[in-house]
Amino acid sequence: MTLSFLDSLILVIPLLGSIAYLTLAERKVMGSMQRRLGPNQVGSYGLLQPLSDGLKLLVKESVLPSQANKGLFYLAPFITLTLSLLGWIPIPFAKASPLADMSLGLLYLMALSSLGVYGVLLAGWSANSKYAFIGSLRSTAQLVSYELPFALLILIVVIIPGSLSLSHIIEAQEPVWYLVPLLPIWVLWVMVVVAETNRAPFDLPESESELVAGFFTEHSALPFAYFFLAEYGSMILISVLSSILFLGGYLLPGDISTSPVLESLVLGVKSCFLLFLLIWIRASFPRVRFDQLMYLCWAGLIPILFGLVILVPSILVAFDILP
Amino acid sequence: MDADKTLRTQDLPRTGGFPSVRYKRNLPKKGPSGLVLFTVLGAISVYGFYRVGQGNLEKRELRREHLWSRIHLVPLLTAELDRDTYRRNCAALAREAEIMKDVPGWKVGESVYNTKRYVGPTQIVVPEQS
Repeated sequence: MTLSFLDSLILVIPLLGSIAYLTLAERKVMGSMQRRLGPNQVGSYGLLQPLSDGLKLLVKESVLPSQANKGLFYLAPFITLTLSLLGWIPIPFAKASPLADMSLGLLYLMALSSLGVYGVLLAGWSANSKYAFIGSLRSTAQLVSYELPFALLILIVVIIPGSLSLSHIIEAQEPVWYLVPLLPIWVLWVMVVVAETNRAPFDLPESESELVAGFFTEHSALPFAYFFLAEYGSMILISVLSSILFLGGYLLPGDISTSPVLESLVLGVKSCFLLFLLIWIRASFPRVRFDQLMYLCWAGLIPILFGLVILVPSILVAFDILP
Repeated sequence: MDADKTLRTQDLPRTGGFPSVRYKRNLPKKGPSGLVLFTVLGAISVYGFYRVGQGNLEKRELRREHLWSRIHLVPLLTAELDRDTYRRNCAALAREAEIMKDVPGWKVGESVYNTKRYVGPTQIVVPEQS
C-alpha cells in the first residue's frame, strides 16, 4: 500500500490526457449523431483540438468579479478537481493493482462524491452572481438528492458479494457479471449516473438558456478548466465504477487467462462503451424540468430502490445462496 | 311559394350523417409488448441469480475446505515444532558444553533456578522465516 508520488503521477497524467480526449470524442460523436463534422480544423481529424483548447484556457486572463470572495472563488475549483482525482485511489485496473487496495473502497468513493458538493456550493456562493448562485443551489439540490439512490444502488450491488472492496466485487463476478442478475437495476443505475455527473438530460445546473453556465458562470481561464477537468474526470471515474460494479471490471467472460495489460485494456474498453452511452444519452434526450428531475428522484427512484434493497437480499436468503 | 320552400329548407347533415372524426392518437406499436419484456428481463435475472448462487456456494465450499485443511494440518505442524524445539535444545546444550569445557565443576544443562520445581524455558525457539 505504498502511495508514492510517482505512482500518483503515473495515474494522473494519462488520466488528464484521457479527459482531454474525452471532450474531443464527445464533440465528434455528437457531431456525427447530428450530421455534423465536429472539430476537424486543428490537426488531422481535429486530433489537436483538446491541446489547443487547453492552451487557450491556460493563456487567457482569469477574470475575478468585483465583490467576489477571492479566496473561496479560487479554492472551489481546486477542491472539485482534487476530490475528482482522489476517487481513483481504490480503482483496480488489473489484479492487485490499485494505488490503495481498501477493504472499504466503495464507502470511500461514496464519501468523496458527497464531499464534491462543497466545491459546487463554494463556487456558486463566492462568485457573488445570481446566475452562479442559482446554478449552485440547483446543482447542490440535485447532487444531494441523487446521492440517496446512488447509495441504495451501491448497497444492492454490495449485498451480493458481501464486500465493499472493489477487488472482491470484481472477483465475485467470475461466475457471472452482475449486469445479468441486476439487469433491471442497471437501467436505474444509468439514470442515476447521468444525474450524478450533471449530464444531459439532467444538466439543470448548467442549462444554457436559463443560467448561462451554472455554478461556474463567473469562472474563466484556468479555474474554469479545473471545473471542466473535474466534470469529465468524474464522468470517466463513474464509467469505470459502473464497469466494475456491473460489467465485471477487468474480467473477460469465461475462463480466459489474462495478463495485467490485457486486463487493463478490457476495463478500458468497457468504460469506453459506458462513456459512449453517456454521450449517446446526451445527444438523444431533451432536458427535463427541475421539478420533473426532483419528482423522478424522490417519488420514482427512491421508493423503487427501497423495495429492491429488500428484494435482492431476500432472494439470496430464500435460496440460501448468501456468500 | 317557391322562394318560401327554399327558405324553409334547413341546413342538415348529408343523408347517412357525417363520418365520426378520428381524434385518437394512432401511433404504430413498436417493439415487443410489456409482458414479453417483463418475461425476458425476469428470465435473464433468474439465470443471473442462479449463476450468482452457484458462485457463492462454490466460494463457501472453498472457504470450508481451506479451514479444514488448516485444522488437519495442526497435528503435523505441532509435531514439526516439537521436533525442531528438541533439536535446537540439544544443539544449545552441545554449544554450552563446548564453551564451558574449561570450567571445572560446570554441569551442562543444569537449571539456573534455585528450586526443584520445573521451570519452563524462557526462550521460545521459532523456526526461521524463509
